[in-house]
Amino acid sequence: MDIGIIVVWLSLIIYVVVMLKAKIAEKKERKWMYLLVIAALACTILQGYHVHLNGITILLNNTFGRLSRMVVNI
Amino acid sequence: MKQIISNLQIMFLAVNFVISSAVISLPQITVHIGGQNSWLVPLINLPILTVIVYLLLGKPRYLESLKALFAIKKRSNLWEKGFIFFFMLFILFTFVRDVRAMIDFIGSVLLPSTPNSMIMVLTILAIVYISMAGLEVVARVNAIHSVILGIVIIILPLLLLNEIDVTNFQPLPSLSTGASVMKSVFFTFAWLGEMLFFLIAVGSINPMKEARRAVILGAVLSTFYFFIIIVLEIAVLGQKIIEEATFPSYILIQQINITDFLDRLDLVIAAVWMPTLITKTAFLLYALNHCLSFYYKSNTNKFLFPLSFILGYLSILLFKNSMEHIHFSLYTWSSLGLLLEGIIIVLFIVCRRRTRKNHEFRGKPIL
Repeated sequence: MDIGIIVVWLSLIIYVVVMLKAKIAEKKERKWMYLLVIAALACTILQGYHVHLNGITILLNNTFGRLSRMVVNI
Repeated sequence: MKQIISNLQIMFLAVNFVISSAVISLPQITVHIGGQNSWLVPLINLPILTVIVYLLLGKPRYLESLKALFAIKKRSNLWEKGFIFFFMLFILFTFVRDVRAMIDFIGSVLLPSTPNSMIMVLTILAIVYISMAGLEVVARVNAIHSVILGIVIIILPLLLLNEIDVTNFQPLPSLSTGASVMKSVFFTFAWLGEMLFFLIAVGSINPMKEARRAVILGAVLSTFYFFIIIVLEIAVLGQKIIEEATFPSYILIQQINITDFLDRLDLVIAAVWMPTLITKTAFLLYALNHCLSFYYKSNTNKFLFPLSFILGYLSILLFKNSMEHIHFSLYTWSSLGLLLEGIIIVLFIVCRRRTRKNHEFRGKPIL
């Protein structure tokens, strides 16, 4: 496991514990907190398995990038 | 409590929005297209930026009405929601692009044996630490670093005096080179237009009357810095080296060679440049949180910590390699950024007019 992933996981665990123990997050806010933490953990797993989300970047590079390339011939 | 920033701070923020990220690799595409006449590009961009600021902020006597604009916990109309949506997209793309640029720069130049994910985590921790403190702290930290960066850029011509070759500017500009310079202006404008990030903090400026002048001064200073960097790069490195380099500004500062023992000033200057980029991304994170709070109708930074990690990982996941990131930054962003900036300008003018009308209506006595 990557050292970056370990640091992020530890940081997120500390974040959740502090938010719950100190009652910083109210009840209705907790679902958002859990959602964001799970999303962050999912990102670390994707990075760990070298799964890239570059589909959107390829799409943008092929549309807007091509538009810019039409201005110049490089 | 509402956070307040001064005109001087908004000026330094405007400077930082433009210069901190543009300085890394923008000169490469500018010179690639505009050639040895690229030093004209910032000079052409400046009047356009000035006109945009005039259009956005309008007459000073109406500026007070902007204080309520994009305030959290108030009823908002569709135009404001639309503005915030496009502004959020603008922030997201810029944040991801800048963090990746920072990671690539540190990973390839400063810490080559450190994994990218670790550089990203450390960078994000620094960004979120500043950002969570709020707008006032971000503005103060930014002012300190902007001043230092400004001093470094201004003394750069003196440090590089023995390396300058004036013949690199030949042939001088003529009417036939106008087209390539204008193409270069098109490619750089989306980057210089990032000055528009000040719009999200426009309600926090105090005193409001001088805001327009402060932002224009910021635009003048930032284009002046960019002008110095482009001129020096052409004079010292020449067109051919800039075209081939990924980080031409770093190669430029590597050329500083004052005496036999003072030849590693590049690390000192890089150590000055990096904090300005960190402060800019900290502001972007603050602005993103403000936008989300606008929809959530509650001013909170409780979710900023996991959100910052998501964005940090997106900066790695969205680009498979450095080439994809460079292609996005230099080509895609020129059109995409320009489109987003155009939409943001139009929506801001509409929001401002509506807010002003409401402000005038409220000011009238009820008979």
